[in-house]
Amino acid sequence: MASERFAPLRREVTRLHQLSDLANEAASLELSLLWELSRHRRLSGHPDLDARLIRTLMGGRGHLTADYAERTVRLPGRGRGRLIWLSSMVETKILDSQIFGAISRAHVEGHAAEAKPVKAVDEAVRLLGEGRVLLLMPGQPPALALAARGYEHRQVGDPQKETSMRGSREAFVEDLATNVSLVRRRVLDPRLRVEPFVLGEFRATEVRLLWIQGLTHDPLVNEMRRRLRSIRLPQILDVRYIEELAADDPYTIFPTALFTERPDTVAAALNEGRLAVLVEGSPDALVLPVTFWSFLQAADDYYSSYWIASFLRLLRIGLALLALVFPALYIAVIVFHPEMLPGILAFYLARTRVSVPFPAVVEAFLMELAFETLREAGTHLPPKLSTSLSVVGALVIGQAVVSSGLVSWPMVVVVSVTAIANFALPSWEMATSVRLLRFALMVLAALFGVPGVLVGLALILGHLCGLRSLGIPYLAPLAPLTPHGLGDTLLRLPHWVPGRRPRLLEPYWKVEVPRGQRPHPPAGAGTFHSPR
Amino acid sequence: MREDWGLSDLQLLFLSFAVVAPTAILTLPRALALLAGQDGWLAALLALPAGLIPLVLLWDLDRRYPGQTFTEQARQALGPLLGRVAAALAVLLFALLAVVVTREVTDAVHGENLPRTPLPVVVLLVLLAPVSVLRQGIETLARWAEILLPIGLVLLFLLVAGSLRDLHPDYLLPVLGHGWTPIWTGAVQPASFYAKVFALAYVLPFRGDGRKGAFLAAAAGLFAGAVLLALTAAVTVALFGPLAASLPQPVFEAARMISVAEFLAHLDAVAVAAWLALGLTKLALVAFAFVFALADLLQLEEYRPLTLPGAALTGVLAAVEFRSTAEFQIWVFIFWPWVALALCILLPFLVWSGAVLRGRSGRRGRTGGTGRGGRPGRARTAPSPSLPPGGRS
Repeated sequence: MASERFAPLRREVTRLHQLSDLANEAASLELSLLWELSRHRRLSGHPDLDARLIRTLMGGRGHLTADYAERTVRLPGRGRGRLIWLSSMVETKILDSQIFGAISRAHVEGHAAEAKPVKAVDEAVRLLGEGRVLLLMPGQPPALALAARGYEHRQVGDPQKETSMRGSREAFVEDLATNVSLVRRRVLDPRLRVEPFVLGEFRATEVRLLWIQGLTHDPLVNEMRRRLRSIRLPQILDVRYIEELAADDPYTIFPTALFTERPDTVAAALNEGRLAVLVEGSPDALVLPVTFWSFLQAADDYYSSYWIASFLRLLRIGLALLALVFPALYIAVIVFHPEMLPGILAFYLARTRVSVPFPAVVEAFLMELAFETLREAGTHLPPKLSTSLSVVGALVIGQAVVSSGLVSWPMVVVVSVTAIANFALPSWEMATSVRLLRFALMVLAALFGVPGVLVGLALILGHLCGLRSLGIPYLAPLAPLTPHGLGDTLLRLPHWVPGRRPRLLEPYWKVEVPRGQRPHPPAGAGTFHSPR
Repeated sequence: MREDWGLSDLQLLFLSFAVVAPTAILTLPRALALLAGQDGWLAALLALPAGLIPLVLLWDLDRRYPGQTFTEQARQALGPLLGRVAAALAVLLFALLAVVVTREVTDAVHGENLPRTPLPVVVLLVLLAPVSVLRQGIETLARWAEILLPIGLVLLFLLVAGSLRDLHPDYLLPVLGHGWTPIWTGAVQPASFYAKVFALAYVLPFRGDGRKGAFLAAAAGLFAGAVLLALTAAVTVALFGPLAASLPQPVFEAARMISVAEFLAHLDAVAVAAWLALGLTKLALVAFAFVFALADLLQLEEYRPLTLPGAALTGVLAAVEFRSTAEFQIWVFIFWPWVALALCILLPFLVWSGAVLRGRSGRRGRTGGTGRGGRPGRARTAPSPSLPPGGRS
């Protein structure tokens, strides 16, 4: 039999596979040992030795990463050196024209804006991973990290998530340097500080903390520094990682920092004495401390008439409340207090619910879940398929379910109005919190009617009262009440009103809108024609 | 923000208002109508000194023992043993007060909205929010009150405004129709409510540093509460006339009568909302006084661990102590006012006279007791209230 004949061979193959797995494991083990050893170890100053160590760390025997590149160069006056870079992260043009050119002209230190002396092995490898070109040299310093970074990234474009009618049309991209420049161009204050942090273990991510010295309360900056330094995650891919690890209350459902993709929002926040965090690779900035009201404000508020802006702010508060309680209140009224409704409306609602085989709670939950499903499907579908989704959704949810009598029309109206109100909230994070709390309130409404909803609201309010963002009370300036700050929370007072900005950091507040700025056109004349 | 938060004068005003106002809206108008007839509003105003006495005593005690809680003051003024007895009595008073308020809030919700839900479940529902706020500290509680009370007030005024059409001011005439006697007998009820401002003894030490106006603010809150009570008493009488005395919860009845443009009708849910907004605040405040006084008596560093057991005790007592709402009403109208009034005035008076006899003047310095710094309460509740702005909470 053939299988009998091949059995020893097969056994041999299996054994070899196991052996190679073992070898792999051994290599990995050796590598992690090497990594540990290379921690804080100094480069020797012998380019060949150092290059060998770095090559081993980058994969070494048989596992060397494919984009690893190494050349021997002759340094006039200093002997032989080694150039090491990752071809995927480095712009060949810069490498050729500038670095090789500078080396041949014996001009290495001055070749580029960034030529950073490197001493430690782990630092060298980290910089290599970030796209620097390492030049290993004999003597001191043992290595220079040269900037020749070049890789594709998205160009600055329109804000996609926070659109506005007026105002700047630029949004952050994934490239950190671009983002910092976008902010600095808007702040234009020499006191703007950009503090570098390198967080994460191996995938060391560049993080920038931005604030304006003299404007921002120093304890806030110190506290934020402390929180950033205490972050030790294996990887940081987005600002969200930072928000979760630097939050004041780790269990809160509410966002305690503002995510924004608009550089102008960040600039405005910095000018109000807040801090901003930018992370390499994340097209969002983190702004903190923030208050509850920050999430109900949009950049457009400051670029449009203060009448409409104030109206919209009040409207958004109402909409947030509506998105939170409408289904719950509907359940409570239908189940517990139908007498609250005017007679005709009560009869109408009762008539529509005749054929519905569920209690109102189940009906509401079904519809809410159906809607959440649609929304979730919509966010993951490629745009080409979204039309079919909306057709299915509209047909199934809007028509079939109702005409089959499974769900009543008013419930569809309630759920859609709630959803639209939820979409109207400017902050995605706040909208999701509201979305989740809505379900809790619906349960309370089903159990206890209107008092249940009210107790739920009181609970939420209590949580908000105790919540802080970087130590600042979340509901400030409403509770604790500081009337001074209200001008820019519930309403948006005109730009010429003095002291209208939120006074988060009272004693340190240096920027005030000066008095007497209200425009005074010359009285009487009305036109500029000279009197006859 | 400033590093030392502390309670602001406005928050103290709201808190002292919260002691008086909420329950007064629910049950007092009826009691006043029952005992003082159409002059109930007069009785409500005349009883005001009953609240000012404890407040003045507390103010003077605070002058003598600056920044200390009532328990510490009692220990120093009356000696360790007697002082502890006085403090224990205060704990008992606040425990009973918490039970009474819980039951009052529960009864209103139970009777009005959830008649078929078992009472203990409603008690649980009612205690939920105050306990959660209580665990977050007095400053959170103050902020909570700062938002809830105005909401409750606005809703209440909406109800009053809605019933304006049905008001018959002539029901209020003649003033002093039955002479002064019914007014004095009627005044006992509001007096016992005002006297409960004594609960602030455990809140006032948390006022922000250098706030001289705290006691004035508390007095203003008390006054505002009295005015509100007089207003509701007058409105209920003007609405229902002689009938007011027989309606268990006149404000709810008034809400039921409202009909604006045929669309807004049967607003008892609004009445419940107003009532819950005010009642839950008072419950949280009273429960804070109870739990904090207990922690202070036991010389604990932190009152929070006592919150849940305290709430459980309150809830159980509120649910089983009285067999029916009627029994509770009788107890609360006939027995409780005298006890509350006596204790609320006697306790601070005893401690105050002890302090006077010891010749403790307004000078600074502290002896015995805890030996802690100027605002001993702060150390105990510190984590949430007094962290510097950067602090994690």
